[in-house]
Amino acid sequence: MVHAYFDPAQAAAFNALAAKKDSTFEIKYFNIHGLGGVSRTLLAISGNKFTSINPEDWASEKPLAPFGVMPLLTETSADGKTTIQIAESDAIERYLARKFGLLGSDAFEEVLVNTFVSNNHSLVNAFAGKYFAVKDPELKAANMELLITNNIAPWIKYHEQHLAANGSNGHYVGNKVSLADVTTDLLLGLIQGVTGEKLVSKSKTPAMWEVREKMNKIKGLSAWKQTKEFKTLSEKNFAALGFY
Amino acid sequence: MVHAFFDPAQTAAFNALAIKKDSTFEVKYFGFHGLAGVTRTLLALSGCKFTSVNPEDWASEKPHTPFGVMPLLTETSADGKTTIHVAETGAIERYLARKFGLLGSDAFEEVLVNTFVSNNHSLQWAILSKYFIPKDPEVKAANKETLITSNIVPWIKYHEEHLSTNGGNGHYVGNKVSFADVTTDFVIGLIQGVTGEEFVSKTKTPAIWEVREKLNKIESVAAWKKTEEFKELNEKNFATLGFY
Repeated sequence: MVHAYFDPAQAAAFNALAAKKDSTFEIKYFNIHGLGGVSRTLLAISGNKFTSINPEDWASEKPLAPFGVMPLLTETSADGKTTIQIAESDAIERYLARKFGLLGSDAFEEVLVNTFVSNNHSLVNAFAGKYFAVKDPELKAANMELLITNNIAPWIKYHEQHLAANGSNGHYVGNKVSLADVTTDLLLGLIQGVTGEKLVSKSKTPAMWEVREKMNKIKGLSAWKQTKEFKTLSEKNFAALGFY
Repeated sequence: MVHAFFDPAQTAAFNALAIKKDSTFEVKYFGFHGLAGVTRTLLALSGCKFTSVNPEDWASEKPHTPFGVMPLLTETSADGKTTIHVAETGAIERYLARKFGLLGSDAFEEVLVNTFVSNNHSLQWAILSKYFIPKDPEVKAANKETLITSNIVPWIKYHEEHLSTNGGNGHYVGNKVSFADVTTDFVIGLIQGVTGEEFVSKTKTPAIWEVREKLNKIESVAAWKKTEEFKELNEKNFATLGFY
């Protein structure tokens, strides 16, 4: 029997809701940023109401999820009549980015956004595999040196260059916030979590820093970051993963 | 100065070419599948002419690329007058998938395709980073059991289940080949590179296997896989990375 998330019977309802910008949302995930951070940021930017749920008994809910993992997104229409669900952080992020106009304004801009997002994901993966997944402190430290030389330093060079070439306006594409900006903001947190202000900071990487500053000026996002809930997620993220 | 790949002056030309299906392509990458395998399969699927270029002097070309890495895609219009470039595996694959109608037929199907692609990317990254990229055989061996238990076996379970509920027709979404199918074909190669036929095979995972069989029945894909070039890429991939 087809999983509820994938049932084609809901196609029409899903397509209708996909175009709406007035839904309410629920993100099911642990009480950290982790793989849910970008999704929550996208929702905050949208200004839509969203709640984060950390299941008390994930073990019993796990078998019901399409791949046994979180995050999971639930979207409910403004009239409360339609509910849809999406699994997998990439698919969730891409769905929300498209809904809220964060994938550029045309095919060219979408390719640009995707290009920077893809490059950002490579760095996130490198961090995850070489740093966060490693328990042995000596190996972690050794890997971090390589990560800095082979991954972080080049990333900084290229992104500072491309952002400066776009006018250092805090955006990768034109003059609008996009999924590329959001993912870079996440990476600034990861990099600073490990290297403090040694590699990225307002003075050292002004064009990149402007991405974060522009994002934090977005009303819905700045309001979200001032909530107690956000601060708890940040603290728990630091405790669990080592970055804010 | 903005990098040529990102210059907004080309917007109109890029947008016009993005929807054309009669271009010719060049994929710049090393002489194995690696991060370009899926891209070449997407191009083979399309039936469009494409060449693979493995730069003789990558060191001198590297500084001219947007992030200093390959693969890189070049697309030339049928009339030869317009050329565009795309960098980053994720962006290239998504650009081609959209161009050739491999992202589903509507918003709902696109989310489904993205969901399975996302889940595939997670497994792909786990296998590459924990097994094929590490050179130390002890590290490989140490990671193998966990990879099987925590990543490969669950992936098989969920994908066999979801593909079966779609009728075991070799497709994730409806009755059409998609980006999800292409990435699963790649993942099958990765899994077999680690575990041979122990976990994935026609008899053990018929629904998953049917994805590969359906893909290989597409005329242009079958033709591509019979070329000397493809066979060489296959052999070099096995020699360099350890999987076909």
